[in-house]
Amino acid sequence: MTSDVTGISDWESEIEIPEQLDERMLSALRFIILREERARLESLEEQSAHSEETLASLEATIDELSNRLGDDRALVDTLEPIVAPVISRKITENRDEMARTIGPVIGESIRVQLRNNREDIVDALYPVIGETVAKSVRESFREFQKSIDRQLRGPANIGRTIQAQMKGVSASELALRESLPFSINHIFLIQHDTGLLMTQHQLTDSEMPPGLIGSMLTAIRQFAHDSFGRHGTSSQLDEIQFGDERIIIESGQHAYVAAVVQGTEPTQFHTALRDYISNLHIEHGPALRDYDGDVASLEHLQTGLSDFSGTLSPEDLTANPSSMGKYTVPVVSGCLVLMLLGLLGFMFCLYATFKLWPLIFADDNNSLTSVTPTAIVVTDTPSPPTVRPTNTPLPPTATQEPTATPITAVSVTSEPATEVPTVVPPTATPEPPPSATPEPAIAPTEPSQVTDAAVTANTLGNVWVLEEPDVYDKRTGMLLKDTSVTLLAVYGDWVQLEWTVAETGAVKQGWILRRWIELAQPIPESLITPTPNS
Amino acid sequence: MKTFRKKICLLGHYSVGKTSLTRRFVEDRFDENYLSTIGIHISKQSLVLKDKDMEVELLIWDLAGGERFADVGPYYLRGAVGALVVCDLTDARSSWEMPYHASQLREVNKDAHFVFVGNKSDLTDQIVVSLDDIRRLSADFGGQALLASAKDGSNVSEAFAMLVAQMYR
Repeated sequence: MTSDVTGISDWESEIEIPEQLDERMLSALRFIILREERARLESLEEQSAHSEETLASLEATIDELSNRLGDDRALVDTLEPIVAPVISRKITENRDEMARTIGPVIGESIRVQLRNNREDIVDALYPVIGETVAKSVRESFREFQKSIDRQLRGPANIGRTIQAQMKGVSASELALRESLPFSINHIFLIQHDTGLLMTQHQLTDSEMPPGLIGSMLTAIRQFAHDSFGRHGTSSQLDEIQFGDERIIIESGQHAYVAAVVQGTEPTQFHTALRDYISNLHIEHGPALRDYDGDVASLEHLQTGLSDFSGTLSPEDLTANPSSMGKYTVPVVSGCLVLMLLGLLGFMFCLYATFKLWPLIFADDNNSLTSVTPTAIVVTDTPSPPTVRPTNTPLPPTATQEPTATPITAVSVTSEPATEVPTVVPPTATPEPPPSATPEPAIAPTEPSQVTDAAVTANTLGNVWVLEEPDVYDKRTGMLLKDTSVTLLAVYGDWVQLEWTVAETGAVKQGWILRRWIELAQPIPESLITPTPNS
Repeated sequence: MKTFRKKICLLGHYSVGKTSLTRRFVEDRFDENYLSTIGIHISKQSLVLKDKDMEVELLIWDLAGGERFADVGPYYLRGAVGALVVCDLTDARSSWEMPYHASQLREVNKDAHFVFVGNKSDLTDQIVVSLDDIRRLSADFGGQALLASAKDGSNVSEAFAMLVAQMYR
């Protein structure tokens, strides 16, 4: 207002106003002339007032925004409703671009989060990963179980059982071991010093150039040998592991074989590799030593290596006798032979038992049968009557030779059955005249009358006494060694004897082979009964 | 066509460009930003000798910077039938060491073949070693020498071919 009044005053000073005009007219005039300006001025004043309000409002808004920007929580609250839809829309519109954009950020975020708060990540992922892992493990175990079942039910299970017993593990453990996955990816034959690849066999696809593998392997081995090998030793790097793959190396003098494998190799695998490289050196030693890089010179080894690779599967290694270990085949063969011998022995014992049963357990009322013989040998071909016991134990040809303990029924002092009687030369005592003329007969004669000139003798060992002169005849008892007997009759190799049992005074008779007695005098002809062959 | 495999080495002072020569020969490229690594770098490249109707598969052993720390290990040289002995034409000292490097292989293999290579021939304004200098140094080892540049590729293949030709001369 002040400025307006001043303005008017200035205006009034510039315009000459007649004094006669009264104040009222001037006011009217002012009103007329300045009406529009006054209205504009009022409008401006209103606008100014409004602007100040707006400015105040803006300042308040700015302050509020500043506060929000400074307050993370408030900022999140503000952006949260906006960001999610924006990202969602962006993902829908351009999924690949979003993946490219936020992928590295997410990766880094996870790394940071893992570093700073591992537990949270684990807790968050556990439900997903845990279930995935459990499913995978279940699946693997199911396959594993099927594999073991197949092996245990298969025809090779008997062989496996024997093999397991020999190795000191159970068949199921062996089956378990054989079920572990194993595969061969590549086999190389490499010259020692140069690292030149001699030949190779590839079983799975590989991007690595074989020639370079040979050189790199050689470099690594030689580096390891030069760096870590003790002076004077021939220690070599024999295995390299990289991830799931391993390189198993077996060395020969001029070359080494390297097998790239996955899984757990069978125990025979190393042996098979060793055998291969050894045989290779035996058969192609000069060619391996003189190899100068001429690929054609060792082409013939390619077939051998391929064939060898074909024998390296776990099944083949298990079934292949040559790789089953040095002693497996002899031991198995030995066991089979022993089993066969045992079976034959058992059958023989069975046969002998049935055959000799009647002889051993003869129904005999004689008290002498209380003796239990422990060994009996019987033959169908008795030795000639002239044969006498010697210092050398006679072969058990025509003898029943019990080795039982002495019987109580016989008063004669017994000696161990194994003791052999001493040689007593035949005496030259003149033969007494026969007291009775024997009747020529085929059958053994009846006991003749004992005369004064009775022929006496001593037994040379413990011997079974038979009822008739036949090894298969009924036993009546046993005569112990050094029993004094009287000769009643002779029939072939057999002699009929009579003796007295000391304890009871009973007189017994029976037949034994002639060589088991020692005669005190020659046998009178009257006692001899001719045999059909005589 | 007969095929032969041969192991050869690159010998020389550190940073003379051995690996660059190898890379240029094997991969036909030169890595300006190449940084020496530690250890052995083995690469393979074949050369065909048409007049002899044979292919030679070269297994090229390169020290790739490992020579900074110690003498060349015997495993590096063992079995090698030849070597490129390399020097830096802009570094006289590297050329002086060429006979020493060659003698290391000679001790392992008295029949080894050598080609002495002066590398970095593209740096014309900085060269301090001449071809004659290198020839003199190689006199005791067959006397074959040439200038090459791994950067522009000049004479790189020729150096390897010269070595192979020497083997089958």
